[in-house]
Amino acid sequence: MNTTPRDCPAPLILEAHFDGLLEGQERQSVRRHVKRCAACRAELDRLDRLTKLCRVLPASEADAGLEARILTVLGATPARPVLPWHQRRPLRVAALAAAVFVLAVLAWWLNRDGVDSESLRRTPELAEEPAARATDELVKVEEPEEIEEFPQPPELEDPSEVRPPRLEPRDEARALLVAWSAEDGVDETWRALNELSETHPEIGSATRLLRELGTETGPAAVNALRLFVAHEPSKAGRTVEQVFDESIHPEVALELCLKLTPARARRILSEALTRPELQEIAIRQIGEFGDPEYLSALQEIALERPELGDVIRSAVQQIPGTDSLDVLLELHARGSTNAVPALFSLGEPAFQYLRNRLENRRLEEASLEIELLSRLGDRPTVGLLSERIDRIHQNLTSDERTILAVALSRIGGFEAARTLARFLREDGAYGSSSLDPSLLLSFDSDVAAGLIVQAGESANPFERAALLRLAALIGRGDVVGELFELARGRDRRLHLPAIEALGETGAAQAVGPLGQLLSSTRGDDRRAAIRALARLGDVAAVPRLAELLRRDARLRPEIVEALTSFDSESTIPSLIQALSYRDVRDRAHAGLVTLTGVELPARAKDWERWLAEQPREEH
Amino acid sequence: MTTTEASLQLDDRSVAAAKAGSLEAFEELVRRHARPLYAYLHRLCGDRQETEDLIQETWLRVHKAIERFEGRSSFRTWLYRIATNRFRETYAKKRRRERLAPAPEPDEVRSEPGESMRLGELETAVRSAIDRLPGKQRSVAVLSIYEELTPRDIAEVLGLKAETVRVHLHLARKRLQRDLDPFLEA
Repeated sequence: MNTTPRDCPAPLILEAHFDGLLEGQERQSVRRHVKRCAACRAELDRLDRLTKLCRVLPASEADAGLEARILTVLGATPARPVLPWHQRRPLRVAALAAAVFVLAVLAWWLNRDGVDSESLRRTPELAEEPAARATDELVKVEEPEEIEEFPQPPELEDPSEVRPPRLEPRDEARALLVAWSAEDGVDETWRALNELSETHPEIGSATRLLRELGTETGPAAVNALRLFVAHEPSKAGRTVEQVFDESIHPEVALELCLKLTPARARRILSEALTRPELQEIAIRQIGEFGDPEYLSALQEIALERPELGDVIRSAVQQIPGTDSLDVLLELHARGSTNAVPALFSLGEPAFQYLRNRLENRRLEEASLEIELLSRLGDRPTVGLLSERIDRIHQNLTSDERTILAVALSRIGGFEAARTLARFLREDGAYGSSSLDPSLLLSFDSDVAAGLIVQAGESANPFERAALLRLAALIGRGDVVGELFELARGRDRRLHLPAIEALGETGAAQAVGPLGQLLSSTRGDDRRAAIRALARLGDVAAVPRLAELLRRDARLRPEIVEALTSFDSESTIPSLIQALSYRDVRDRAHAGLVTLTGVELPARAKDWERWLAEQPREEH
Repeated sequence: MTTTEASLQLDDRSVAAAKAGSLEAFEELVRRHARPLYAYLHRLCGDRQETEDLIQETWLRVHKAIERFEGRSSFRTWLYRIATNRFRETYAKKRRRERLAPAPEPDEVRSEPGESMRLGELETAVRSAIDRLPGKQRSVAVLSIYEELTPRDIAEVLGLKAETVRVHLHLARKRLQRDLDPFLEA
């Protein structure tokens, strides 16, 4: 009768039955099953055939001299072909010698201070005469002839006497550890410790050795801990904790704690945060650990110890999640650290997070987010700010306008410039600009050219004026040609704003085009050109204005206004001439008095006499 | 008294005398165990020169450590443990070397001149199948199949738990069955 595979014993049980390892009830049960299960019988048969098949491989016979060779090697140990670990490489011997020397100095120092060292209590033989023995060993291992030639000793009865001179096993282990460096990898030293432990069972396993040596003081202990954690992290936890708790090498324990279980790492890190001397290392480790639980503690430390601001910032930016961004922003707001590099390195998730915060806050509460986003040059922020300006631009305070203008200029680009142009709508064509010219330095003339094109397409006269004005402020002399084209182009709607914008460029190149525009057939254009020349304030325009003063009676008020605004002595003859025209006499007289500081009546002859008396070179 | 028990008693006596400094007693241990140990090591590594080095290293270590041997396991188990550790080290080194440089075909490495000519096809297949086992599975399989040690004894030799040994043995058998399938079917 056959059973289903479901009733069959597990493969390991069936194999245990095959190996005769089962007993009692279990053995009977499997036996009964096998009797009625063809599949299991076949499997047992297969196992049997496999064993027999493998055994066809004959045992390799050693030749007749095997025992003799072994005994010869044992009887003449120093000449043996296979050397113990500490004699295999000259480098190792040198490292061992150096390590012994370090141990000797350490022991001497401890004895000198009368320190009852824990390590020395554990190794009384080292405490008794460490320097003397270590020096002896140093002399022995330093003699290359002895090491390299392995002189044949006299015939010895007791094989133990032929062993090479050696340190005590624990000292040997310490020396090995001092010579070890993490870059060497762990395998070789671990194996050497294992060999040592095999040869000297009384010192216990390599694990036990590291556990004991790791809680000592000194360089061997530090390396013992490091090797222990590198090779057996699951077993090293308690030792590392002990080293930390007893302040033996707390900074080393802290450095290693991340390789332990998370619970142990957490305990050590939490404890270390309460100890000021360990805080900096702990903070670095917390960054690597990446646990958001520590964020509030880091925030508190940042307030208490501003000098750790950058260390904390680096740690926080390694911790995933938005809580860490909250902390970063708070630290930035309080001046503990500059969050910009951290946010920049976090990339789009950080930007998105800041944008969300910006969207969910009122403008006056979001200055931090706006500042950071603009410093990060985040273009999508322009859209958010633009919407915000649309909604509340009537109610913006001058501080808020400044924040927004600064942010937009930092972000740069065409959209930012276009948004910025909205502020100019309200400033009026020749009113004081709310824009600090330095803000516009971040834009390039391509942006200015884009704004001019945009102005040509705009249906809103205020927008047209604002766009062209901003283009002029950004593009300066680079856009004079384009603005001049608009000022005399077919689209008359653009004439006035373009002429006004020419005045905003502040560029000497604009004087010529504006001079040409003084001959425009349209009176409004000529008036606008006069105002623009006044805005430019370039005295090169004075002769052209003087000529126009004589020619065009309708434009006299604007010309006199422009001449007085130059605040230049080169305008005096023109202003004296203007005293002859009744409609502008008072304004010209006031200008002359202000300019010269001379109180004469508003009569041209009096002023001409005064002018003739002045030395020529002054005029 | 069984043969095994008698053999254990002989070992105990020789070990006690060797610990007291008797070279004859140590020689007795060498004579009793050197050849089986040689066969074991050769099955593990498959190379005569390597076996020779391993056996000498093993006995050297036994010689150095015997005065501290406390008899918590049998001498044979202790001896095989030391030998297996030596093999593992050599195996690990070889693996590292192979990782650095492309390994030649296993048969070329294992077979010595003339030897493969003597071995029949079956023997060669078994040899290759054992060579292809990973380190621990190979030790467990050789100790179980050839040395006929129980999982508990193997556990002592290899420093593992008996349950772990059974798992390694199971995996080794599966792998051997797969590699030797044509011969098993035949």
